[in-house]
Amino acid sequence: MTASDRWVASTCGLCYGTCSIRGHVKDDVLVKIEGNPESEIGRGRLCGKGVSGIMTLYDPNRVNAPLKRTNPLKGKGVDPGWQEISWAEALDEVAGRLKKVHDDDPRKLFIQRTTTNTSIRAPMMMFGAAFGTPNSWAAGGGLHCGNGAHLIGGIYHASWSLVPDFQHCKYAIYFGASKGHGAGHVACTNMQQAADARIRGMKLVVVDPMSNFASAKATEWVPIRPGTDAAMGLAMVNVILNDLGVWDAEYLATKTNAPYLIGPDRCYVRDADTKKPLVWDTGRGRAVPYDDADAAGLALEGEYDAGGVRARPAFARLREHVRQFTPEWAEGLSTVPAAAIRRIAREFATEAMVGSTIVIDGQRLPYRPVAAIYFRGAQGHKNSVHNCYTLELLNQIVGAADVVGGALGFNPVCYGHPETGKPWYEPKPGPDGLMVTGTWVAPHLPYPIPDPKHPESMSLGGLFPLGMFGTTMASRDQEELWTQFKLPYRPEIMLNYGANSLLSVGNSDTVAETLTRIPFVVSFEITLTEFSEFADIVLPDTSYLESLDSRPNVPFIFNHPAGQGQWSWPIRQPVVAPEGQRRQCADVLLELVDRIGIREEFNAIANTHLKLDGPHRLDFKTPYTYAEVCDRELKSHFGAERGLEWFREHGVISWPKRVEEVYWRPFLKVRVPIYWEFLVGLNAKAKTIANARGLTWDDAWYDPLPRWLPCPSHEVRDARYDLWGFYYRDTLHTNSFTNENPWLDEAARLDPYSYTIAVNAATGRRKGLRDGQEVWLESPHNRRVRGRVRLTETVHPDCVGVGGCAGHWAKTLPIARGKGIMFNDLLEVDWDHGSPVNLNLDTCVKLRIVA
Amino acid sequence: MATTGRVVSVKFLGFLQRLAGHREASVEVAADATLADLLDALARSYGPAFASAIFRTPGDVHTHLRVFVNEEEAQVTDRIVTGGEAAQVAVLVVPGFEGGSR
Amino acid sequence: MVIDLKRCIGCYGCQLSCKAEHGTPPGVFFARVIKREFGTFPNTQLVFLPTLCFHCTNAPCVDVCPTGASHYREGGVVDITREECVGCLACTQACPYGARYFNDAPGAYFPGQGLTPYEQAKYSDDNVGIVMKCNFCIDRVTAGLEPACVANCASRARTFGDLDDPGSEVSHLIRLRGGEQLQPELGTHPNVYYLPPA
Repeated sequence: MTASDRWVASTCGLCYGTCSIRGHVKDDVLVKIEGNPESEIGRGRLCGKGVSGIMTLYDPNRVNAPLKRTNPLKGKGVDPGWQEISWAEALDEVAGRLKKVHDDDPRKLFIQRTTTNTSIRAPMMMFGAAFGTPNSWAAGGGLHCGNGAHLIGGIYHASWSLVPDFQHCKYAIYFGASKGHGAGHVACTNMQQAADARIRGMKLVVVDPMSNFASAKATEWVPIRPGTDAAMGLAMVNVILNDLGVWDAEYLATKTNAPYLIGPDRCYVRDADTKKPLVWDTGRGRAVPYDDADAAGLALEGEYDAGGVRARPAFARLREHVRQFTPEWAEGLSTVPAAAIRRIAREFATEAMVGSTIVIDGQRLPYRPVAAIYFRGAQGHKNSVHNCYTLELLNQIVGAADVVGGALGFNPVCYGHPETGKPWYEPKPGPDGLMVTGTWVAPHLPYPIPDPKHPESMSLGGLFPLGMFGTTMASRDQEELWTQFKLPYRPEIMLNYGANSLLSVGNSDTVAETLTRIPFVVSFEITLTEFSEFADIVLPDTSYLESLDSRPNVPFIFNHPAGQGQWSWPIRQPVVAPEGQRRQCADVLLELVDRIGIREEFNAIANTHLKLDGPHRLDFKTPYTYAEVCDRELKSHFGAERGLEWFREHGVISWPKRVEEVYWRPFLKVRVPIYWEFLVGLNAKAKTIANARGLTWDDAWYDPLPRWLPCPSHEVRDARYDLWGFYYRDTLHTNSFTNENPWLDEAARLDPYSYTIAVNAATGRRKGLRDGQEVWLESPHNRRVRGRVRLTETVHPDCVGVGGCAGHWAKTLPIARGKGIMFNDLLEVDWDHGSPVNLNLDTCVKLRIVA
Repeated sequence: MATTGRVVSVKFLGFLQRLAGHREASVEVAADATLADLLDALARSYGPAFASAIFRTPGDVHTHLRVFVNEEEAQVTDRIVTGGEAAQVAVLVVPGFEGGSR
Repeated sequence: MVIDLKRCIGCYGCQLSCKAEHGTPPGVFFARVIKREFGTFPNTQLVFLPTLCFHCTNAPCVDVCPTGASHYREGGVVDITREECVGCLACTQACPYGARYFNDAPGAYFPGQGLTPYEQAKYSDDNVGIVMKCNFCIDRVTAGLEPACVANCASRARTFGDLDDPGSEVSHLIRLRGGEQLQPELGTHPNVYYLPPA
């Protein structure tokens, strides 16, 4: 290795999977990207996107200087009339305006960022918190993937999401998930583990309207109508609990709130003195607090006199509640045959081997080799909370949660590097003994849930404490709702990092309208996109291959492989030097911090958020570069001798995982809720506030037990709209970002599905459609998009599938322009299409095909 | 609040400054006061908007709240120990994320 | 080489790592992934079929090459001597697997915007007007590395080794899982075997 021929270890930034890479640089030109075999994150192998980053780096359409718009008129396709300006001029203007807003009302700053390049998360969120704005979101991401699946992942697994224990699972059911099949969290390691599991003989049942990625590799594909996952799941829970009589009594009694006594008011019966929920101790024949150390044999069934009321264990209520959800009922909604639902439920319950144990690393542990995994498909709907809650119950009733073979959260327990004991976190019991995550990613913890309050944020989040982000950040009716809720301010400045919300949220006309109402928009970009058309100032960002970061993986809760193996903490560092006047956003933010006068806040937050320790803490009053902050974070975790210098040379630090980190559930005294008692009180409080503001309220969404609730697409009565449209994540592309990469675009053009409308072949023939024919997809709200038909056997006859988030129109993206379909243009973004419990936007639409 | 207490200097960082109406204040607390006692006093002085920013439910401090004593992060159950020096307490709400800690 | 269709998930890692390794121009792929549907709804099987030059023992492309540019190397790799290829396209027509590409013009990935620094470093004028194809990354293999598509495959679907050695991993996999050549009836005897998808 010489200066003119070198390999540089860093981290991919083409999706949030952030696999570890190394770049081969010859004569200062990046000539190859490979996986870094020294890291657990990717284990030396990359997907098609990862190896193609060279073409993103060297895109001649990159922004190289700060730009200022000269055309005050903003709109889709309107040329902003960009004028190059100096960094000094750009930052004078940006800092001046930010300071004014900060001194007036910091809530008027609206921060938006992409989910593609996640390493900006820490600096941007620290900036936002220091500034004092609650208005921050990851554009599109929160509405589409996060509010339900991540909430449930957090409540039950203290984790962002879950995967089957690929090393030991024997039977996994995926509901609209593709973990291990090309995209998503820690994509490349999961691909290896999933392939090994297939060869080992793990059965995989994939419930999905389309047979594309995971379903193509499945033992069985179960086609389903979109948004009906909870119906199938409830019927399965019913079959398992009531027909088969299978459950893991020990797990339920000790690791969940199944034994908590529920009174006629649907709430916990509480101890008069301690206010702790009561359980029925069958040993002593009386009610005792749930954490009574002497309690033996907590009742899961029956009815008891406790605290003066007739009460039943939560489990008994659940069991009775699900009796109404028969497989025949579920078939009517989901189209999944009742016999198949019964069979799959039986297979799941049988393979769970309730009661069995296995010895791993000398420790006898519960062995439950089944997993129910849910993600974007089950989540991308108005009814996401109840979908994901229901599907998670499959894991809970058989005790297959974070035990050998079961559904694993990724890495909610970490006891740190053996030499330093850091990073360190573990879930702990919170109010009523229910689990609180040890570390977390989102704006609020999944549990405990704060009291609802009169909303003061753009998303109305305070009133809907289960939601991460809300539709009103970019909805058609945002002004109406803000007025209704007397929001005391309006956004005045938007700071955007790389998000193209024109494409990523919902229909672009609505998003465009909300953007034009924001007086001043600043955007950090590597290329000019459809979003940039609405910016006043564009700042040229470095690409991931030109950037530095001490936590490129948003470690670890977000993006580290589950199961046994190693921990790896990699860094990101510039593989090549940035060209032109590009500057890394994090450095620019630190300069803005000083210019606005919020250094004390920022440094305090950095100390607490990055866990900066001892001599590596930031003084509140000293300015630091981003590299210095990164150096201090690494030293805080791995010792003074392992700072940035060490990591620049080594790229990554790894150490073995311990069995109690991987299969942590039996080791920690935490419970999770199979019965959502807290929703009862939450409903009453939130409803009072909402009704006072004239918002109609439906209590059904706050039911403490799971149910199937219809989405707008299920309630379209106009028979002309006869198909359900959905979009899915293509392995070749990350949302709208990679469409401009010509290698990926070329591959996508050759792929039969990437840029086409997947229509079931028989359905298409019935409608007289030809393969390759150009058609319109039209929604009942008169929105339409155009694309080419692909007649296929891989999609449900009632459905139309569209890949990715393409359909760019910006002239500044010559490769991406005109390719593929912008499905999101069919989506309504308004109150009716969002969830009244977690604000999740429905991403499924009833539509018709018009030739 | 005990009148035989002592005075600590409190700095309101971030948006708490807006809710408090100023950046710094001197607050008298009991000699053996904890930070939770101090927060209670602040909530009483500055009203419901301030209180709901620092308490998740009445009496239960919000998970977003961070308290620093002389720039060191502290737990709300900690006594305000200063080693004889005047304590500089800084309070801050981090409305963006959670972090794990021992 | 052995390609395990049960492991492959069609992520295009091979196709694109090959492109990155060799700097092939637009429209030229030494490795490709083809997606094919079998059966009818709901009994559908979508198969991901990664392809490359099969380095046939009886390679029609070598037989028809008028200049001897296409030839067998020691070890069985079918290669093209760049200097001897006259671009007559006899081989591209003879290959039943579509593994050969004629590079007719110096294409750019950003049309009308010049060549990127990467393309400037990787493209060679010597490749224009001749036929290009996979050579099993002979330079990497000589240096003790695996071919780029094998080294990068995240689901470890590709295994490279000596088919003549019955003790090799490739021979073992073919025996264990029932590896088959694509279209063996053509008599070309491909040296790439596929393991069944299910």
